[in-house]
Amino acid sequence: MGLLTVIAEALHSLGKNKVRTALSVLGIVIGIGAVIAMVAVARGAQRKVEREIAAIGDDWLAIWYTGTSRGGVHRDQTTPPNQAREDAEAIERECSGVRAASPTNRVPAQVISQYGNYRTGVMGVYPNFFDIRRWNAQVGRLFTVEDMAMQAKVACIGTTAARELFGSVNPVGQTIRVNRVAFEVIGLLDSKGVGSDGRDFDDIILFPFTSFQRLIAGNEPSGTIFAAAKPGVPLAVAKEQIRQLLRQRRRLADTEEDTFRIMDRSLMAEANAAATNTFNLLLTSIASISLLVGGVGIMNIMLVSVTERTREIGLRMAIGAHGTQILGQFLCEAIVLCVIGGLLGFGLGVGLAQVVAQSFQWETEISYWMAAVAIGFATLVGVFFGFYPAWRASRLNPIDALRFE
Amino acid sequence: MDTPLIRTVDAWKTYRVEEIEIPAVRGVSLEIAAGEFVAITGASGSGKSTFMHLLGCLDRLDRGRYEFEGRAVERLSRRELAHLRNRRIGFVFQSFNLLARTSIVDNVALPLAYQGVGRRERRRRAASLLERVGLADRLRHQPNQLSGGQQQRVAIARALVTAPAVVLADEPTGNLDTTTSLEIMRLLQEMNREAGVGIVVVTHEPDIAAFALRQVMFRDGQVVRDTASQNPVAA
Ligand SMILES: Nc1ncnc2c1ncn2[C@@H]1O[C@H](COP(=O)(O)OP(=O)(O)OP(=O)(O)O)[C@@H](O)[C@H]1O
Ligand SMILES: [Mg+2]
Repeated sequence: MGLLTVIAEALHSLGKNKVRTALSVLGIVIGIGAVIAMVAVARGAQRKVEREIAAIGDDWLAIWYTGTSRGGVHRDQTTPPNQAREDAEAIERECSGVRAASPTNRVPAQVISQYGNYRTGVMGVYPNFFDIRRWNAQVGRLFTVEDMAMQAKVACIGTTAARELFGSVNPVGQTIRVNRVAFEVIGLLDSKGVGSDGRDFDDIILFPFTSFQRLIAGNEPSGTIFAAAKPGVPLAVAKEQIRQLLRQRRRLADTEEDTFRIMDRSLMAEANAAATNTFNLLLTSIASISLLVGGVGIMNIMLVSVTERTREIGLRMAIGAHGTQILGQFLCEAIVLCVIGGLLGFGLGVGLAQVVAQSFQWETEISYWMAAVAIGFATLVGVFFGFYPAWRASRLNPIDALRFE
Repeated sequence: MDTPLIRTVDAWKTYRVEEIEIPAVRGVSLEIAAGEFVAITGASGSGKSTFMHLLGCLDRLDRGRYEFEGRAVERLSRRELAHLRNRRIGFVFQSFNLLARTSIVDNVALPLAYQGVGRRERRRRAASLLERVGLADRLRHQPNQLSGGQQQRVAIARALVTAPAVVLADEPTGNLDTTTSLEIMRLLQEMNREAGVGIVVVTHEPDIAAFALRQVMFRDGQVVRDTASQNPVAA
């Protein structure tokens, strides 16, 4: 009996017992469909979180001065008041990989509105800071280069600070006072949520750098410089350009250490990675459990027909089939079942994912890799449990298989 | 003397069920010539079926020798045994044992499939045998659409389709009424006479055994009588 005959016999046998075939296929379909749909939903959720994290903006660098430590002795380096401004402008001008750089200065301050007062962080920044951190105004507008040139008394406010100072009143157009100076709130920032380190990015008020230095911070030397890389430029490249430029501007000898630190995304990336890992773990456990459940289903259905099939094998042996012919037929049947079940299960999984996406407005993403794993696993289980009883039966004496109960 | 079709020498078969040994066949030595029509009789539990399974290579003996057409069966591999069952032996069971949900013609053709005969040729030969047993108009039917007697005719057609040397029938009429039983026996008798195929029938009933030219009687796993009948039932 050639291979074609074996396949024909297998198909014929599957076609004969439609209920059994349908049930076996159903087990496989459900197992695979569940895995694909679950993973699609989980992956969609993961993508959404990743995008939200990315939206906070994590392609920026923070640079601050540290002074030097030589021979274990820490020497503070006095920073001239305008150094941060000059450095930031030089970085933006001369580092080819940098999109924008802004000096910043942040101090805690008591802020007063007509409704109450609140202690929060106030911060002076260049207008390009909004671009560096990808912050936007949900109401009103952001301050501009002109505002800064005119040292305008304007401010943009984060949602937490706005809620504390104005309650549910629209803060745009209202006045706040810091150090007895009145500023007009011109923009309410988008809510950025709490960072992975627990810091509230919305508890802040931003002022044009010039106005801030003159009216709030006095001549305090400014602190951190924020810079952002150009699109497509790796952060590490921008970081190295900035480092070389600052070393040159400090006239540091090759043997000297940096007198500043540049923090890049890696700290945030670590937090991201932790969140993503948790998600992956969750996803993997969901997939494994679905697969296991599916596998048990497949196994059950395959094993239900063992008695009947063992007798059939006994009869086939009695009329002269030898082991290879019988195993060939059963292997063929199991593979055909699993292939059909796999394809239908894939369709079901994709369909389910779409239904979920539409009815709950959830994001879903089909993982083809996971689909391959699921189909592979289901096929393995199906073939094993379809084939193993046949293999055992074919080892019996024909009469024992014929009389099997 | 010609090589006998079947020759057993001191054949033993003992079942073991949880430490208890049940000797079912205890030292049977028997020769059956090609083309013989033999009835095996005996009380229930005397080992007839067990002996038939040994003859049919469905089971292996524990002790003794069994030669089929001069070949020592004990020494054949599983594959060679399958080949032997396929080409040289036909079975008819008491409970018919047809494949459900499979047409009559495909049931009969099945042994030929394992010989690698093409589908068309298989069906042609199966159809001609079904015609021979009087079921030419039922080729497309399924087993459960036939009466018991008709199902047993299908089984006989299946046993004969490969033109075997011998048909082994274990109580082929056990599930049938008297009239149908006699019809089935006449059919076997015809096949024996026309095609020269050997027939070994196990039966309880004397009038069934009477179709055979030779009666072998079992008691407690042994042959206690072996007689040739002078005037078997006429066809
Ligand atoms: N598979 C088995 N396992 C254990 N014992 C068995 C088995 N098959 C048969 N026996 C025992 O072997 C003995 C012979 O059984 P066998 O079926 O050969 O008798 P038989 O002559 O065919 O009887 P009957 O006329 O009732 O069919 C009996 O005692 C029976 O209980
Ligand atoms: Mg019996």
